[in-house]
Amino acid sequence: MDGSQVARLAQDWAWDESRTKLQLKLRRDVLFHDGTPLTPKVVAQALRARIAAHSVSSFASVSSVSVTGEDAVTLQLTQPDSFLLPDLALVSIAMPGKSDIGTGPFKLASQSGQQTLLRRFDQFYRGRPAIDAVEIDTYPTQRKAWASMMRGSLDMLYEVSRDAVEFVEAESAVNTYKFPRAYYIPLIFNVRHPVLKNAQVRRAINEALDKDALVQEGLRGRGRPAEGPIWPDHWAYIASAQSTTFNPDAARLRLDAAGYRIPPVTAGQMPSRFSFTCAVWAEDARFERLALVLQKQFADIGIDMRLEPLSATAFDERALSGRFDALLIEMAGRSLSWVYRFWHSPSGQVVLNSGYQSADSALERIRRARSDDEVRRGVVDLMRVFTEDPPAAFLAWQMQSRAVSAQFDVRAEPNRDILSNVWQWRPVAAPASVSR
Amino acid sequence: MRRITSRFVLLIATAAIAPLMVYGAVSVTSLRRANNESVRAGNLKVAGQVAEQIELYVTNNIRVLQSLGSELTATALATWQQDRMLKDYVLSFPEFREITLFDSSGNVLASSALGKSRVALPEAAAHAAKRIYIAPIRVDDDFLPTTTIAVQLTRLQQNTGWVVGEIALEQLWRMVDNIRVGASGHALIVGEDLRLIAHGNPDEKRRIASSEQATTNAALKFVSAFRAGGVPATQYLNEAREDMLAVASPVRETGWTIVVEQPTTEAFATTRRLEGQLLTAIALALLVTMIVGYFWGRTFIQRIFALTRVTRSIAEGKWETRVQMTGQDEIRELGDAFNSMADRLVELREDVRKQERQAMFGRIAAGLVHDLSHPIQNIGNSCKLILKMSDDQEYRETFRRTVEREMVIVKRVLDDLRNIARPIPLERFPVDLNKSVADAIEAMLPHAETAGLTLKAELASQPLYIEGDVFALGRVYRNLILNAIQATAPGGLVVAATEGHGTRVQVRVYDTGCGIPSDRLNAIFEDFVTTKRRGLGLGLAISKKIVEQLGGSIAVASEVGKGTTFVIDFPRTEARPIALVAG
Repeated sequence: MDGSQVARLAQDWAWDESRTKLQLKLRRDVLFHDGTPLTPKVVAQALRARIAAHSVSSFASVSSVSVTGEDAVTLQLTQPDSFLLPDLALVSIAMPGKSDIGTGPFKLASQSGQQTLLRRFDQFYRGRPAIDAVEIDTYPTQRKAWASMMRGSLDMLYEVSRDAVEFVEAESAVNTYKFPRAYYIPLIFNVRHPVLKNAQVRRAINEALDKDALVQEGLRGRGRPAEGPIWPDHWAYIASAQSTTFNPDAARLRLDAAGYRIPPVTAGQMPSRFSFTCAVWAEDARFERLALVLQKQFADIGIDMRLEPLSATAFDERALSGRFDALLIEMAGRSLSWVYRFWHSPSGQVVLNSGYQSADSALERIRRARSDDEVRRGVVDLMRVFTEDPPAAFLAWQMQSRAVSAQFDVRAEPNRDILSNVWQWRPVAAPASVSR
Repeated sequence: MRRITSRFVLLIATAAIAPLMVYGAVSVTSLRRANNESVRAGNLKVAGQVAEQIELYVTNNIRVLQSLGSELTATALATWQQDRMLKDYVLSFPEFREITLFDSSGNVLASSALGKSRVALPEAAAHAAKRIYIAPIRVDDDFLPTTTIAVQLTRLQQNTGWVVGEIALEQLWRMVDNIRVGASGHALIVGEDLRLIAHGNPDEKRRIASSEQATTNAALKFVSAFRAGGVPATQYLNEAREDMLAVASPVRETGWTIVVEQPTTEAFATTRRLEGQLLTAIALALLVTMIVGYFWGRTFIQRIFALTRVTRSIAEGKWETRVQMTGQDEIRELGDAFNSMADRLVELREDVRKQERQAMFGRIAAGLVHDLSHPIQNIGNSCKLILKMSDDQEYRETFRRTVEREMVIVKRVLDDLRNIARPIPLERFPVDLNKSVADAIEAMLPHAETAGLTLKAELASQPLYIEGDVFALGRVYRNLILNAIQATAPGGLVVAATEGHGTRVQVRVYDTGCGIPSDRLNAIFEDFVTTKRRGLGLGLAISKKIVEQLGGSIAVASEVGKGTTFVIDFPRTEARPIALVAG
């Protein structure tokens, strides 16, 4: 929950003094789905393949992976990288050359079209799952999935839409479990935009946003306002004293001072200080209402935000190519590594091309930190940079709800995703399968 | 006694309990009928109000679109302004998933949708005569029911376009969810095509998205019947087999029907509670009546029981017992009268006893006179003669025998009197019963001859022995035989017979005499009771006393005009007379 790592395949780990050598001590009782034991050799081989792909930035710091004992693997780094450990936690270890054979509680049985069938893996190292099988169905919209659950076709709904959650919560045959989701919604600015390149404009935009109203009207109250891209429950997070507060008058003054006054009315056009276009993912209804609320709030201070719905493919292409004024998107934020990945200027694999570089120094300090205190100081610096020269309007952290048939005891813990312990779910009555 | 109690209980039951129960039954029935009607009427009113709310909901949405249409047409707005206005309306009125502005040809001018508008101008609206068109419920892309409202825009009586809003029925659900009748009564909305649009029971919402809803839901069948002219209220079992009270009300604007469902256990809970209270009150009244009746009746009957107890006590000879009565009613008067009667009875009893004593004294005196006058007279006469014939040796001898004989008689009378008052001294030895009877017969033969009748013995063939006093037994035989001789007319027969029956032996003395009237038969063994004109009447009393002292019993049977039989019964003994043993 707070970004710290917990023991799983690696039951322990240790850095050397120079923070350039990381030794992972592996469990000895882990089997792959085909019965092959998990050995340091297999793990090293899998890690080498992932590192070679440079899927995350920290892997670029790894110079070698070697087996250093019957249950140990050691990673040698060229320089310290505090993101390596959280990045390793996100790596799924699969049999080399067989990506569908892993070590999890369920193994892939079949996959066709929109349906995936998983079977219980009896030798799962944390215990035998109680559910025989999990059938995963994919739906184009949350509303359609909810309608399917209403008809009794599903035992679990991966995500209950904000519009439907109150109805699902009221249903006695279904239990809903909400938890704070470490995903935030930013309105990302392209700092190459002639107006948005001005940091004062971006600060004014942040001041103009009533994030509480955004959460209430745009997210139906299912979330909390965001101050930045760092998960507020992260161990290194310290609330910034310089955080931006809702102040539309200050925003107007700042824009006036920056030279963006409201011009005289022109026929057929909105009288605005300036305009920009915000790309919105058209296929996800979650963003539509939020975009409309944003547009209305911007209009109140004389900013004309035009909305451009885009397909997922077009949206990604624009984000990577940098051909956008602004983007309304959802981003993962539990790990500082992900903050780096999104908000550091592209140096390798491009994830987001907004032209923003102001936070590079602070992010680099966090990455190369040799202690937790250095990480915390880096986070404070980063938050200050994001306040003074914001790359985006960080709108809200989301609250997510999952729905599960009351036929299952999911052993829910407060504020924790129930999927983290799916292997412990138990049928309350007759055995059944779970699907979404 | 029990009959009085039973009658009393019956009286209370008839007078109090039965009317109470009849009253209770009538009251409960009337109460149930009235309350059920009241509940139905109340729920119908709620359904009507819900229908009005739904109408208001639909009307408000129409007004929103009309207002939007007015704003759009009143001023010459730029496209961007129309676009923003539509978006503002969608944000302000969450009932609308999307609002789109069409020109008169059906082309989209502006839309609240970010991309391509999902809403199309309903074809029926374009051809409808009305300026407002509400489309039938349809299933949208997500398989959820949706409807569309189209409002025509006019300027100078010319159609300038349409504002079409797509209603998100989830918003309607929120309104329906807030409608509650009692704790679990809820409303549901059924569309024109009998499709469930909204259901206030969260667990039943899944039916909205189910294609089988129309054939399975009892509410929909009820709505179908209601629309065909059926009653607006009914009861049915829902899918959970719960008995529901359902009422229906139409929504005029849309052709929908509102159904308000409430479990009958809840709807009629007040009725049940009132019934319970009424039944409790009646039961309480019954209980109080019975308790009061019991205690009051007990007080009443107890005094009768007291009277009975005193009556029995007096009957047992406790003449001093009196009944203590409380109260001032007739029972008290009865008790006082009873006590007066008892007092009077005591006085009468004393009078009777006095008279009896006097009669007894007279009888004893007469008997003594009878029994003693002859011997005394004989002695007196002999004494007079002895004065004259004192020199006559023979006469002196006769005088001596006469005096001695008469004195024996006097002594016997006095002995009898003494034996009545105290136990008779007896010497018990084995006695040959046949011999003792034969001796008595022999001794009494002269009397029989004098009386001119036959006296004989009929002795058992085998010897019969008892433990007895031979002299006392002789006296008993003599008494019985003498009585029989005296009661039998000349020519009659007197028999003394002996019999043995196992461990018992009997002496039977019977005659062919006048017999004893049955009303006197029971008293003949009492002291001073005799059937003869004269005498003390102690013979049979003393005989009975002797027999019982010897361990036997004596009984009598008699028939007037035919004769009398006395039966003396003794236990047989195995012992033998001393002489017999010695011999």
